[in-house]
Amino acid sequence: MRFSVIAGIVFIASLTPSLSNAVEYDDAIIVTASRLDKDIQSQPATITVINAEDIQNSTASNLPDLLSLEAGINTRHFFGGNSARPAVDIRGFGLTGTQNTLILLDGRRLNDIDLSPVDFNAIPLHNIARIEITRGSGGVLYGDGAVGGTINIITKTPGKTGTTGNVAVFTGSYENYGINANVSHVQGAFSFNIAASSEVSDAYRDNNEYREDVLQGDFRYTRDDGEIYLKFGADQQHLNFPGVRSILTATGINQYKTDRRGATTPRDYAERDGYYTTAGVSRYLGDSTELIVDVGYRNKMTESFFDDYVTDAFDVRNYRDVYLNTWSITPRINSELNLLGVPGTLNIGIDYYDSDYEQERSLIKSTSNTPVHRVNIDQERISVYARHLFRPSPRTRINVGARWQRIATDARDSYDATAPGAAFGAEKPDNNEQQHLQAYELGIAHDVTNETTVYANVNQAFRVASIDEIYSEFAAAFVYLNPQTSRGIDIGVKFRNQHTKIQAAAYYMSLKNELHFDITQNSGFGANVNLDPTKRYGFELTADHQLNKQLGLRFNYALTRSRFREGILAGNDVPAVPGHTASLTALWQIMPRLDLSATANYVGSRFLDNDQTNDFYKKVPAMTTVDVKLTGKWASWKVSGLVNNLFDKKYYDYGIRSTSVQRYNVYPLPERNALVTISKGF
Amino acid sequence: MRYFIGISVLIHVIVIMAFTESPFVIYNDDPPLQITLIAAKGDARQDELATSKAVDAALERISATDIPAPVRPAVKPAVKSRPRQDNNNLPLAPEHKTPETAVARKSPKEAALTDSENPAVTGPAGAREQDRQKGVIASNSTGENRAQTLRKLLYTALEPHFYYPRLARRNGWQGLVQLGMTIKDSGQLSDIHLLKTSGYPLLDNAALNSIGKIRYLPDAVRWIKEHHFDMVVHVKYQLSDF
Repeated sequence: MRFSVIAGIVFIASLTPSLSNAVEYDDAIIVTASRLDKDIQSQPATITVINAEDIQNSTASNLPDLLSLEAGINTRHFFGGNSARPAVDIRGFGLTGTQNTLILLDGRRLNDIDLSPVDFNAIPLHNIARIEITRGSGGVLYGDGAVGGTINIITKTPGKTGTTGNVAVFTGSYENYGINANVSHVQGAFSFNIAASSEVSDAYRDNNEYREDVLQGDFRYTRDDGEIYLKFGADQQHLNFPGVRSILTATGINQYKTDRRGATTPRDYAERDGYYTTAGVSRYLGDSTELIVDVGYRNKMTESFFDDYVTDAFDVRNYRDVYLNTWSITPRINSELNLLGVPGTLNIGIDYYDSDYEQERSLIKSTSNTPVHRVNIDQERISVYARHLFRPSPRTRINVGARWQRIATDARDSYDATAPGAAFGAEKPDNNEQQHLQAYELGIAHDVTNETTVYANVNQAFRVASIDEIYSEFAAAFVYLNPQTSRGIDIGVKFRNQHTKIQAAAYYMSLKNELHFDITQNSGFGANVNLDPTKRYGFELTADHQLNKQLGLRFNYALTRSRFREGILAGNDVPAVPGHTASLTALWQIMPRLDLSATANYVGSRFLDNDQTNDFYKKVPAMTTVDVKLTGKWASWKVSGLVNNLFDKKYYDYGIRSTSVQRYNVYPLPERNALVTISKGF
Repeated sequence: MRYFIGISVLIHVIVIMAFTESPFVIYNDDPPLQITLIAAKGDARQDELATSKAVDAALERISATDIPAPVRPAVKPAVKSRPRQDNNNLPLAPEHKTPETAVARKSPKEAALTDSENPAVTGPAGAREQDRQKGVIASNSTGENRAQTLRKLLYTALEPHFYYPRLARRNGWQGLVQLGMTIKDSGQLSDIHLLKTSGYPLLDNAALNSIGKIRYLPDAVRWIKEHHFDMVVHVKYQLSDF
């Protein structure tokens, strides 16, 4: 299991004797250490930590909604109003946000090597201990895809002796029902935590039914000098795709107004079965060095069907089976090190990921035994990285890091011209490719006062084409696009005292060979391309203030500019990126056992997807939604009522234009809806 | 309309629940931070006690035989309601080695009175005071001073050995550990054992390991000559935001 940026740093910081000391206070011995959050915040990077309490207090009922409240994070829902597969985008990458935002589960990559979005619902909110959001490059510690930012989701680990747990049932609008539970048990050095959840929903749109079952487990043997652990998880999801709502100006057709909840693709669906396991050992070698070695395996099987709604002339029905297996080995060392008399901490490690991908494309499910195409792509990624955090003075930290990564891809295709549905196809010749990439970072943070830190960092990150960007059904061969590279600079200031936390950052990123799907290519079938050079720059502000014991406020704002630098599109905005986003959350403890939380979330207007020319008459409109949650506690019972979209706004967060006619398609999101949850702890 | 009725009912249920005092609420306030030194018979130590309840039970057994008017020991969580300044007056209560010497266990306030303000007590405590007056313990010290001095000796020796377990810090674990130990008349520390868990084995073990690093408290010899002391040490692990 890979540590996060933060976990790694803080872990080493924890080895520093000065951070842990025993002091005499009154007549007790109090052993103190700085909380993890503080060390995370002291790094020369723009970092936000959401802990379990924040999650509990939030109006968000799922992970993407929670993330979308944070500065500079934008979500887009392609598959209806549920939270199953939205794209999460940090710092304005638009449609490729998922590929430029690295999602980690306990430090291990969740982004697959294909284009499929991360299934956030496979990570139950109630089993999350904290979320560490690092904006900007995480290329040194994580490699490929950590361009716009990194989101590391840390699941709960068993802690307290004895047996504890929680059971919750919930029901909400659109026939939404579910149950989740978790139990932890600690007996001496042995412990385990098991979490499970099950949810069904008809969802807002027609043919958007959703079912998901999730099981996660964590078994550990923990001692002060290290631990041995085994983590596992399994999830099963069924999701129907409702498709788009079309608006054609010329004909006056406007499905968004006349039937916004209807489905265009009433027979499309996807089934997904996945599981993972990670086994590892962490061992302290002396007081200052920790060795961590872990091995992981992840399996995903996806079945999907996209029916033919377009024409009777050609049968373009498409049934796909996808199998993806990924092995990973990630040994690493975190060590406290004095170099030339300067104290510091060193992270060095090797990441090895080996993925086998197989896709079978058939006409319909009943003919899946004789697929038209069988595509096999093996990808091996090996990286070496090192990062050293110096502390030349108690108030100053300097960070230097580099990563070298090799990616070897071997692609094969077999084509059966006699298979049902085979037409106009051809077998792509075998092809393989090796790519060598580097990432680096250099950062400095200085504590101007005990409460204020200024920081800056420069970095380089990269992204290689995913399997779906290498393989295109309409291309004659596998295409290896140039890797996308980015160079960036972050400058920020952090302020923190007992009642207030403020973080403000400005950044600039210059990208070359940005990977993008261009629908205008290939006679309108589209193709993946390297875009002309682009840039991102912006400003992010996060402010928390506790007015008094009863009332706390949290405000986020982001200005995001995502533009083409060169070529015929120079000066144009990258589509699907809002220029302004903001959120304001208030948490009011009305009484000791009654809390009210309310969130207003603003997302500014942005160009429709596919509108690189920025000349379409319609944009995705700006929208403000308000969510309110009331929570009552009674002994170990808790009841909460949540109303999303309180003012019943009709909106969508993703739309795509046609380049040939005055038409655009949108994915409507739910109107006012509610969710009631009852939970009992034990 | 149906929608709003539903929300209204829900809000009312939540508010009513919030107003209703639960019969099952347990207020788990941390007990005050304290170190308590208790003199006990050498053969009545609580070697295997892992909870304060067990300590209480064992001490109650002792009191039934040794003490005319037993008082609950300071390890009882109920002492949390005591003002903190009372804890600062906790006495040193040395124990005579002879079998007939009683256990000195009393509430801190009462003990403080006994040791520093009312030396003319009768019974076992009086005997103990007589010993003290004979110079067993530094002649011109009050009970409070002696307690403070020995406690400082112990803390000074222990301080370099305490640490926050790395994995506990990473996981955000905090808690209060109560340990029992004996300082022998030779200055040797022995019988270090867990009285009350913090809930986290890692923190418990860290506290035990830290105290286990000290085997001998040489400066204590002159304070506890011809006596040994059973002590309760409270170690609180807490993470700070600042």
